Amino acid sequence: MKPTTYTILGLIGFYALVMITSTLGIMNDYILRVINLMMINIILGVSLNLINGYTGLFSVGHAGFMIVGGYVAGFMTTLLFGLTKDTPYMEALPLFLVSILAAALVSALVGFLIGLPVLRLTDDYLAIVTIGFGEIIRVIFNFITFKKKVGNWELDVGGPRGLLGIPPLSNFTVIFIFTLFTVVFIRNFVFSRHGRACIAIRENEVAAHMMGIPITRYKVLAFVLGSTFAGIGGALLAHFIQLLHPTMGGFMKSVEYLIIVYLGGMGSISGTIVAAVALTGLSELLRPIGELRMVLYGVLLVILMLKRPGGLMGQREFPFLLPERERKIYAAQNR
Amino acid sequence: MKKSLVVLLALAVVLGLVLGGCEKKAKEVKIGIIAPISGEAATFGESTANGAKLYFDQVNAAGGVEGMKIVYFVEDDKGDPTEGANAYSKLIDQNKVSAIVGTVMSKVSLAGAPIAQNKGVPMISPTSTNPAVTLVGNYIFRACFIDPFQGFVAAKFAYNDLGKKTAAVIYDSGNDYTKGLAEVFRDEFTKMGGKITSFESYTAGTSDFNAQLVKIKATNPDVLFIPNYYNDAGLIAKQAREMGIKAIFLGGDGWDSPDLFKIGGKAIEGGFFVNHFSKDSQVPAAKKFVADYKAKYKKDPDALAALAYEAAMITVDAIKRAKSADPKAIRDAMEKTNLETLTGVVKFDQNRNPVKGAVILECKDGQAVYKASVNP
Amino acid sequence: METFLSQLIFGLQRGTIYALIALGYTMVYGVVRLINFAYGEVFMIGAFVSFFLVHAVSLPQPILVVLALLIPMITCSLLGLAMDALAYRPLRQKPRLAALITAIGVSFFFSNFVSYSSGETVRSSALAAFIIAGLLLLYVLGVRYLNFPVKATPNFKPVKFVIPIVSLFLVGGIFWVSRDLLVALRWKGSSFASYPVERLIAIEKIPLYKTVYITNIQIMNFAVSVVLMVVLSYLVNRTMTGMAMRASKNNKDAVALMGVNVNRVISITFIIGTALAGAAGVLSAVTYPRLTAFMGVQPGLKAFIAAVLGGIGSIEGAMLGGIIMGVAEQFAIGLLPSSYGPNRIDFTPLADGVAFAILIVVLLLRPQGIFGEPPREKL
Repeated sequence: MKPTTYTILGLIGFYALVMITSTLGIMNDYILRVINLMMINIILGVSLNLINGYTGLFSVGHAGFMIVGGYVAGFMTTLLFGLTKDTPYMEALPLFLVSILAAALVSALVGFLIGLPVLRLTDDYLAIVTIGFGEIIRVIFNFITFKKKVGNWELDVGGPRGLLGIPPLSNFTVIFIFTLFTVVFIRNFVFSRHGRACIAIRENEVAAHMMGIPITRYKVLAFVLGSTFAGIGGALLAHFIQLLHPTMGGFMKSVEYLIIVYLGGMGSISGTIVAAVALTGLSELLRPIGELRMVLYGVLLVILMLKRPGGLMGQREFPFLLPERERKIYAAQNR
Repeated sequence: MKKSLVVLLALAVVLGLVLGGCEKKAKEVKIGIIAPISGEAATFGESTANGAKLYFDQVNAAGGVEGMKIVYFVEDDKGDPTEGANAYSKLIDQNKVSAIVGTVMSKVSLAGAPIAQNKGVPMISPTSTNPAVTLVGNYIFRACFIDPFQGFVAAKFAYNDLGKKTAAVIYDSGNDYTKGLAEVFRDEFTKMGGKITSFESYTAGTSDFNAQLVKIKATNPDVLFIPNYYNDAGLIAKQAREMGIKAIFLGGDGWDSPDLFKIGGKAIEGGFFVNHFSKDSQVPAAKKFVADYKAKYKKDPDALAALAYEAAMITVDAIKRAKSADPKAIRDAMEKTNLETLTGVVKFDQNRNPVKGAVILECKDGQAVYKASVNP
Repeated sequence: METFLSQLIFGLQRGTIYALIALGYTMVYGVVRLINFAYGEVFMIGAFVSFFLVHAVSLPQPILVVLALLIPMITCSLLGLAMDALAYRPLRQKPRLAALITAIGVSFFFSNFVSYSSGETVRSSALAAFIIAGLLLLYVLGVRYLNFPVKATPNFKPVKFVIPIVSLFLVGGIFWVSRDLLVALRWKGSSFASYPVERLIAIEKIPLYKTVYITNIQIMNFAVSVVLMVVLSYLVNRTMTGMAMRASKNNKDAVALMGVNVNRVISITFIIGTALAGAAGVLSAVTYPRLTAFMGVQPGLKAFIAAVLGGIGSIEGAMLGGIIMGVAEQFAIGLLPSSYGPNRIDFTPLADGVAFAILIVVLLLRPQGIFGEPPREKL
């Protein structure tokens, strides 16, 4: 059988496995929860990989895009459509999808606005500027407050109170489908001539320019695509935790996504997937050591960069992600 | 080769999570404690966890509750809603606890409450002051008073007891506890007839408040309301006095910590704050709590530890009256709480917020001294 | 008028601290071209070390003041040496991104380690030593035995790692043992949150104009930073080492061809840079007597922006940039309207964004900063 068939069967199998075990109660909700988070992190990691890994930019503000998407979707479902946790799922689902679309569009816009001015900057400055944008986004969301009726109370919503009462519309199926969509989309993009252009820009901007690649356009494209998917991820996350708070889009969160990308390998979607799964799982597994977890992360990061600056998988991919032509080359190289 | 590595990794992760499961033992009741033990609120998380642990250990030493030994699990929410929700889920789905004491920050409580409500596990937050927390559902309780009450008490004290008609406020704009208190104080004080001369904010982590204080000084208020935690409040008081601001300082229960005096020094003398209980109170339980905490953890407890201790008391009392470790029974019993705690008698209102009195403490000679009581 | 002057003076106070941190930052960045995310952490450790010192010894004030400045500087230099040898040097030939990530890792390590060890629960020295040893072992094993096809350090000589590891151990050990000692002796659960400024220097106010005043601490800060600036300037412009540093900024390979040990020059730069960070930490602790484990994060970021504003690599630029940023932030807060009525919007949180706004403006309009050289255009 062709590898593509394997992949499809594998995915169906995975989906079925999770659905069956969770409905039967063999797998408890905690693990289901972790799996869902792993998938959301995959979406965010892969979208950041497009900007950082494939195009070679150094954006450290990805959590900002995520939060934009989350807030837009959250505002739409709670304030615009007035959905609550009691709304029947089938009724809420189409509106949920509309909100996700809106979130994607707004994030894309934000990505465009941020991407355009920062094009000329080199790594270091780009990093600081993106950190700055992330912080500014956080500050802006700290501002926006509404009054909302909850029960017989008039509550402040938004700002440091957080966006509350978001209906739990993200379930395993929805997240699974969107993750699949993200990975397939970005994988197709990366192996198309557009993706090649981005990789060329990463490797040597001058040479790429001389080959006639419009650098500006591709850098902005990378930013826009990355932020769009980050927005989708954010929307899914918001409807998973039922809450969104400005601090969730801060520097620390952006660094977590950065770690996922660099741990997995710049320029490797499979690497990002592996890293997202590993990191989310590790985060839960390492609960017993409490505060030392971050200390350990620091040391691990240093060791990782010293020994394997390319990340776990460098620029390699799993065979099932590669298109036909690549697969043959890959197989030949790794004989 | 790479593929097998990945498969191994995935297996390891899944196995690890699954094996976290528990063994069922008879005659024990499992309780979860969630607090931000790491992250920016680490100090608050530690004292909260310590307070709850202290009480559970004391109960176990005395033979447990209704013949059941308390097995508690402490989880770290890392100050983040996503992680916190995971902690809740782990305790409920993996460890199968019957009740949860947690957590400190409202934003995390709000992420975890839906999970607890959904699964039918009663949850009592020691310190989350956002009114929305208990509104999530009837399994969610809290042990502290909410902003509307505390802000009102502070405003009333300033206007009536201190007799001051002008006040300024400085608060942390990124923290819903301080912001909530500040806004309620502003609204209530104005309603009573007072005038708010300035309403300044700063962002967390600042140690330089001079810019805001210069603005406040120019408006010359009689009272400066500082509804922040002790670490900021002390520093603000100090910088304010250095600048020559003569206003009386007023604060909320976030001030309650021995560190307040270490940071604020002479500046905080003569300040007042609203609190749940007073260390020199006549309630014997309070005195004993302070002594026990100090003996075990080698430092004085702060408000969070005291509240966590109370939350633990309420939980155990509910278990006792329910005579079982069944979450639903515990919840029903908790609703009918009528318990003498560190502050006096605690009862819950229809939104599962505690109906309890507050005290006003005065900062005198490096101690928080009882000044007045306020009852709802 | 009074308000304006007060804000100006406080803005200068803020700015001087930024300037101090920026001084070290700009030097290191100029030579190594690395945004040292861990720089803020060195600043924080300087503050903590002086805290211990001041609590632990009681000496006559003048000696104490000098010691409280010198010992943190020395400790931070040792730390910088260790950081450089263990984390940055092996990556000199690698793409810059790797070094950036490593810097983030180092920053995480230090801030969380200090958070862990300075937390509520008093922990024992033995545990501390165990943890530090364990982490170091992890590091050494990881570097030595994780053999992937691409080796980062082709010539791994264990000896080269001895000094940095010992330095790291020393610093960690000093930190922890002193804390335990203090708890045992007379400090008795005192809080890191409060720095005993009075033991060093009594705050005196010097009135200037009506109620506007300046404190002796502000003058001291300013004096120290000017002195450091002058010393640094001398070092960089008039000594051989300084010349080597300046040359390394432009072309490391050419410098190596001249017979200069570039690695040593870089190490020296690091040592000086981190010593400055330590000094900045002490002075910051004296000005704002509250220590937290994460106090270095924001200043580190803002100091970088200040250095960029003044011109990366320029010492006078760092000083000027820092002061401008401090004053700008102060006036941003001072002038932005905050809400009075129930519905007016509070704009003061935006003041946080002033630093980043400055950065963006500088990078768009004049990327080389005030005193920098114009960039060479490649295309």
